[in-house]
Amino acid sequence: MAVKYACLVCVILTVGCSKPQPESYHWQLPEGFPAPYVPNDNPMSVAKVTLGRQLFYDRNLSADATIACASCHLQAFAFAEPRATSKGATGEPLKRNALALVNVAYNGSLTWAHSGLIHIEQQLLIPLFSESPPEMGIVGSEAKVLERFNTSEYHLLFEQAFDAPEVSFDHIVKALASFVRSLLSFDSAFDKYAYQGLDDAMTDSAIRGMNLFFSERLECFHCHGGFNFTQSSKHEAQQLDLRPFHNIGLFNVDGEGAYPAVDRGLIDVSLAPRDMGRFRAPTLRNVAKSAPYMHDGSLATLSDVIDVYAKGGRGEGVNSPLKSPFVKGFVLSSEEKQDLIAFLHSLTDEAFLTNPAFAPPE
Amino acid sequence: MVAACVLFLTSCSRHQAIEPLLIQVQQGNNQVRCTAPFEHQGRIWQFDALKWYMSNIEVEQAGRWRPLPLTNNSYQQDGIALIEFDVCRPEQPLKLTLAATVEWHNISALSFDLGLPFAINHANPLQQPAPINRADMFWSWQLGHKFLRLDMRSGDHNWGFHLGSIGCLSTSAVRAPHSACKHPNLFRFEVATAGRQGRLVFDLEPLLDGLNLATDSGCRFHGKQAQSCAQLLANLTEHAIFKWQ
Repeated sequence: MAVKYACLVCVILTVGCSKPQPESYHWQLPEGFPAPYVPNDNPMSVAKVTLGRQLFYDRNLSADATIACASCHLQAFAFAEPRATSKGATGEPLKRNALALVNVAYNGSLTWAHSGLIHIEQQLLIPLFSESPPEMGIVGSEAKVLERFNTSEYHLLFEQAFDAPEVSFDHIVKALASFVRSLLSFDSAFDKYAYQGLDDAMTDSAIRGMNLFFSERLECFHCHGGFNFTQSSKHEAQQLDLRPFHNIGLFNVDGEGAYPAVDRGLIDVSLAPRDMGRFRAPTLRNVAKSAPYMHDGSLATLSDVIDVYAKGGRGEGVNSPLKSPFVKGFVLSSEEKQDLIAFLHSLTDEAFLTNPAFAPPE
Repeated sequence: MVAACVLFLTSCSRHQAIEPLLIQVQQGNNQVRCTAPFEHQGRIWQFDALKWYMSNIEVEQAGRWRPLPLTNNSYQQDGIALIEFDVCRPEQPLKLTLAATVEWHNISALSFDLGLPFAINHANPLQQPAPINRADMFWSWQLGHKFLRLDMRSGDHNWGFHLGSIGCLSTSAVRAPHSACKHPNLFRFEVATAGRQGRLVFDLEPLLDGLNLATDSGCRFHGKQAQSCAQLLANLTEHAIFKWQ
């Protein structure tokens, strides 16, 4: 009798004393794949991803409530957009092409050419607060924008994500970063063939293209290799970023390798002369969906891209003394070119492009 | 009755207003008003923005430097102040609000950094208290803040100067991202006050010396603005941009 009561008391005490544990985030990863690196001050949670997704698709985040993150980062285009360069809230054109948000959680650095932007939280300040030209254009409208999120629905989402209902830019940025980290793509035809061992997943043409991609003749894999098809990659067990920025000879305005003054790449940030014309090699996952290509969107198709690499650069860029030694040019038959394009198409992950978890919330 | 009086007087003197340090913007000998346009090189200019951070502010007394005591308010935090000239408050002149009275007749000089200390400059700006959380002073592409922001307009033509630390990246992949910047651009100014009460003056004339504002767009340290930037940096180093009057 005493034991029974003791047990009951025990149970009551345990139940009363235990707090609900925050659910640890479950990464949707193929077996054996490393999880992305997550900064200590913003651990992942389902609640943060939920809030982040709501914010990502909410036009109220721009000063004049006309655009959302999703306006330039569309799921059907692997969260890029089919424009050479993007436009901000005021309609003023930006100078760069919107990058696809594919496995960004693994990026060694962010944007097209910035070795210092390591965490998504740092990069997000740029689209939110930049002024020349404005993107979301929040500067000058900070209070107005925050006020729009003072709704009971948002307060609940903030409370669930951060244990506090208050709306702040710090929490907005952390939630958006969490949503972007959740955008993982590892289920392409290539993945099914290479990692899931499904021999029929890739066409013969794509397999030939894959062999070309990984050949010393083409050298694609040097900059676009690894499980993420970019050298600029790190994960929880490997945080060393080898500064993979390359000059591929797209420009040579002065005969000495200079890129146009409007956008010279990493040198504009690092001030190091060797960084002239250097840009980050982004992931090629879903590349068939994220046209046009390059930092300025100046190459419209994959065929155009391959042509530039085959020539060893573009125009006078072929003679650039600053060009990467891996961009030497190569000869490719038209059949081989089609094979290579087929391979690049095999990196498309339809499940990612249609995943309702990444789509606009109901 | 006497006791109450004494009490009253004592409490009065405890709350006696502390004189702030007033700040003024001038163009040579002429005071510039934030509400009014001003003339420069034959053109009429309007301010869109003129603001700057000051930190490590010190006064020299009998050969020794000590920090200038500042209160905390929406423009000041832990010895860092944001001076915002372009937001006109006629009832509230530009100033540093002091936490204790300064006997200026004992003070020989005032010195300060134009900008933010390194660690604060590169900390998460969204978690900083005012005035460091001001989005119009963010310089996100340099992982920090603008130290000074001057944006002016003459008709259709814009001219701007954004000063801050640049080249703020690690020297290698295996070093912490927050090592010293290639060009910290954190200028320290010292003005002789010579035992006089006065105000701190920011003089646009020497700052803009040697520039043709009509033909160039200014210096934001982005890409190719090297010539204007070099001139502005030289002016900051060689001219008396700040004065005591």
